[in-house]
Amino acid sequence: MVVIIKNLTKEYSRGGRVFKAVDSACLTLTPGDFISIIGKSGSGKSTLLNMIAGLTVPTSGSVTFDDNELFSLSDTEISNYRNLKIGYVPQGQSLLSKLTVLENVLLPYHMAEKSGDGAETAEKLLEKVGIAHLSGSYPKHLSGGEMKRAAIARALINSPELLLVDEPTGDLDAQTTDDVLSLIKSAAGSGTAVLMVTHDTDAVSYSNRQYEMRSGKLLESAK
Amino acid sequence: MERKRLNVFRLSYINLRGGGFRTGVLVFVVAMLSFSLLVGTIVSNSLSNGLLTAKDRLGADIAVIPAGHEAEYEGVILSGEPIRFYFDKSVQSQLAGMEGIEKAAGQFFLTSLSSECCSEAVQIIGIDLADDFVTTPWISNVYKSGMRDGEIIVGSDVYPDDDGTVTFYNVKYDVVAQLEKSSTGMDYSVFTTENTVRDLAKAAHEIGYTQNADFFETDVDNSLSVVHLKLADGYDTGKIVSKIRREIDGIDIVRSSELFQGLSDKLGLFSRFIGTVSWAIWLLAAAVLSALYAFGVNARKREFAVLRLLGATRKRVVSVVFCESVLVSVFGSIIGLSLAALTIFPFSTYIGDRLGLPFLLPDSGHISAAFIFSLIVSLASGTVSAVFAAVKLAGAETYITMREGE
Repeated sequence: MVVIIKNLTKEYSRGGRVFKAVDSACLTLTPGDFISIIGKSGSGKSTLLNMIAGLTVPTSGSVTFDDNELFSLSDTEISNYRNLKIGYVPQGQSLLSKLTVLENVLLPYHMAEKSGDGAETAEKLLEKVGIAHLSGSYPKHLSGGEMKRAAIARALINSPELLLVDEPTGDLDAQTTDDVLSLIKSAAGSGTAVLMVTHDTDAVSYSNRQYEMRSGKLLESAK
Repeated sequence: MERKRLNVFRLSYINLRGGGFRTGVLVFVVAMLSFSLLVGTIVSNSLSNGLLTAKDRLGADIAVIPAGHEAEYEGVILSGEPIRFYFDKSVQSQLAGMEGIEKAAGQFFLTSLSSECCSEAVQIIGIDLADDFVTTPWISNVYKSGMRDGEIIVGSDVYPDDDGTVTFYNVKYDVVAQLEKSSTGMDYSVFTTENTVRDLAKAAHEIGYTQNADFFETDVDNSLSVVHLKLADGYDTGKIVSKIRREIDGIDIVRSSELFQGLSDKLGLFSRFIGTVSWAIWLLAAAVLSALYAFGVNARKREFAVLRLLGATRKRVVSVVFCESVLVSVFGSIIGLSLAALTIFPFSTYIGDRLGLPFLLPDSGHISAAFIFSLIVSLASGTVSAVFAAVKLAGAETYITMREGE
């Protein structure tokens, strides 16, 4: 899947004044890409990511995948796109507290109404991210790193073509940061396009293309 | 073995199971709502039904009784309080001969005692089978062959001895039938023929029944306690009453419309009170449910936003909340309706006694309708409140919802 982002703009109004959280961003994602976007807090990174996921409607511009303009689709079609084509690792804790780790990972699989129960796939993913022994545990018993690994496994359960990762290392120690970024890189290595936003300057070294977000503007930077 | 799919129902079930206190409060409120609705509806219906049946059972337009016994007569009719009073039997023939009176039926009242001579203290009513139009139709519902001398038919709340008999003044009688419940004094009375009740009066005399000396001054064979009148069509009750008063001395007249008017007013007031309380509880419960669901959905913003970013449609998010509210409402309603049934049905006689009003449970059709009504209102109150909150949330932009839920 090729994702083409053209002149994507999102305006918000704050205190009666309009400002551009994202200003005419352009980007093309192809299979196997690992793109990182670095920027300060409030620079518009997460807003851009959420527009690509169809969670936020842009003021102008377009997101095209497989020749489909994302925002011309119905809610059901955008939801299916998010469920089947995209894996999303949100910022912070995003596991559902009343589900076990395995159930959290299985959730997107069961939403897709695929055949089989997906348990084997989910268990293999948990093994891959190193928390197979925690499959029956609830999120409250997990550390920050373990929760992030579970969220990555969940994002990969439907074999997405695009993986969106929002601040994956924000609250992790150095060793866990390295483990988590290696997992994300391995996803890109298997053909998934990865778009990661972060303010961690060390994290960008794992990607093969880097961008910087500054006051809503997306600028390509040399590696 | 294949794992259970995390469909809308299973997600809702897991959310409720893990909801603990929140789920408990929601179930409690729905249970309270359905309980109050069902109790309110059935009590209200039972009172109306009791009054209608009581009016129906009396079946007479006018009752003529000895002067000074109006209140006691009402006591017999409405609550079966045992009492005796008499006037001369000739009153019946005088009344029967008057223009505008279609039927005139006499009854002879006797009371039994709560002592060794008698099974229990009840009102014994002797019926003039030849002329009776008040009690005979109800008796024929349960005893087709017609009551004969020496036979006793008991009201619904009079219980014969183990051998199917009752004993009054040391004379044992076969109980041949028991009347259906009427929520009137008939439930606590026994019925027999005029001949049998007169024999009983004599038997009472023989064993030295001397509590009321005036009883022995009564010429038992030529006495009656009441004459019930049915007026011919087209005659004015007021004019007939005036005429009776003018022509017959030593009597009081009770019109059935007046007899039940006070009761009807009291019952109307009480029914309105119950109705108001029921709807007030419903309003309160609906408001509490709305607030609980609104707070609940608000507190779970991040959870719903996560579902959206994993690929759940808006409809699916609303469906999860809807399904949770249906499960809560069904479970709460089952508890509330069961408790209401356990309160109302076994204790209907007690409730009627405590209220001091005719209280007769409606038929199964009306009871089923009350169950369905209470269930629908409880279900609707819970689900509408929940879905309203969920639709509002699902319409918001997921990213903002996610940030607000952090």
